[in-house]
Amino acid sequence: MNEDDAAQVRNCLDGNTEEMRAFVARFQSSIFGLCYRMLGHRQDAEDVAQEVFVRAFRSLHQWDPTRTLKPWLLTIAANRCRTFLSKRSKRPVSAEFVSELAVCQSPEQLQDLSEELQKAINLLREDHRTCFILFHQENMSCQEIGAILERPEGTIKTWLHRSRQELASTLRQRGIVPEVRHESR
Amino acid sequence: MNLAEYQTALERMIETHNSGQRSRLENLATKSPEHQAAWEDFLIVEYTLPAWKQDLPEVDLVEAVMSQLTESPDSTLGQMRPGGESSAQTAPPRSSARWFYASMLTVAALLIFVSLKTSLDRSTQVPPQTIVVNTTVIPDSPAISAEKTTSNNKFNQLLRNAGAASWGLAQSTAGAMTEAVSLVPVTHQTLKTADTQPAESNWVDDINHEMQPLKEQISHAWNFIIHSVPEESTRI
Repeated sequence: MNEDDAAQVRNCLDGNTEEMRAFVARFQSSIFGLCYRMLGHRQDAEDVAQEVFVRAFRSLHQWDPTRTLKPWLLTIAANRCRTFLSKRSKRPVSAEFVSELAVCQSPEQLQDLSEELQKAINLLREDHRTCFILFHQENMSCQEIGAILERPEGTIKTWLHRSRQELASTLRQRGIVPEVRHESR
Repeated sequence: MNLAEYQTALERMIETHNSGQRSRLENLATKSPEHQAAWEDFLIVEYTLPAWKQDLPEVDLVEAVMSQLTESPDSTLGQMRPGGESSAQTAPPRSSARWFYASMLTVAALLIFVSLKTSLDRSTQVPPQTIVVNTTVIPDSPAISAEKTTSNNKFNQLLRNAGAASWGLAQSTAGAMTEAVSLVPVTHQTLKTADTQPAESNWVDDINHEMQPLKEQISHAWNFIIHSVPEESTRI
């Protein structure tokens, strides 16, 4: 059991607002990072990240002290992102998102590698995307990701491998390959 | 190293974040075009990852989250605290849940009692009467008598079915009630978050979870009696 986590949770449950602020400050980067990478949209990511924290505080009494706090929060975040993506797929795409997609189709205008990779990530299957983000952004092991996504470690390894393959394929199509080839030789 | 072994080694290097094998795998990439493609796939992603990792916007959600929490104190902050006001707020649902399950058990018990009593009364009294009526009132019409005897046999069969179904219901419900007796002590003793909250904070959820087998038992018993008794029995 992580004593720091348990102590912070106890203080939050006691209604200590300073501890609650510290709680949000401690995890906001990871939670927002996952939401932002999953949703590909800053405002949506902020909304969902806030919702994650509110839900986390509401169910903090259900947290199992034998689990580490961060994976527990990331599980909530992954679930909220999944729900949000499901809702978003049923409603018309916003103007901002349309423009992002339009930009996506003109590779000459995109030079930033980060943007290229993020756009490629947006095209991944949702569970592959979550897996890739948790592995490469949060530096989590396949076992930890398996616990968050409730999948066997072997499945996570497969998803990670496939996501990398798909990303490489997309990036290759977008003209990243020659540069890399040049570097690799 | 064949292609499969090469890919496995590459994946292991990625999964373990161990770049000790990197130069060796890079050298092996020239072995075949397939090896080269696998290595390039790895490089393409690795090449873009650092920029991607650094490109995460800064965000400060503290004030926004805290304002959301304070805007709805009854639904959030109140629910967080296991003691004090929150106990008072959550008391009615717990109480109503207790009443709900108690009334469910009472209804189940009454249903068993009525079913058993009805089937016993009918199996001991009705068949002799119907047989007597048939033999005395229409003695001179063999065709009608035979038809009525068939009808009586059918009726007796229905009663036997109803009796068997009632017995099945009684057994199922008795089993379910036996399980129900052990519900509350078990849940109180096995709370996982005992050190972060008082023992009863998760009572309703635990009870709902534990009541699932009981619901299934009652449903099973009910389905049993529905399917055991033919449609004709509704005329009884």
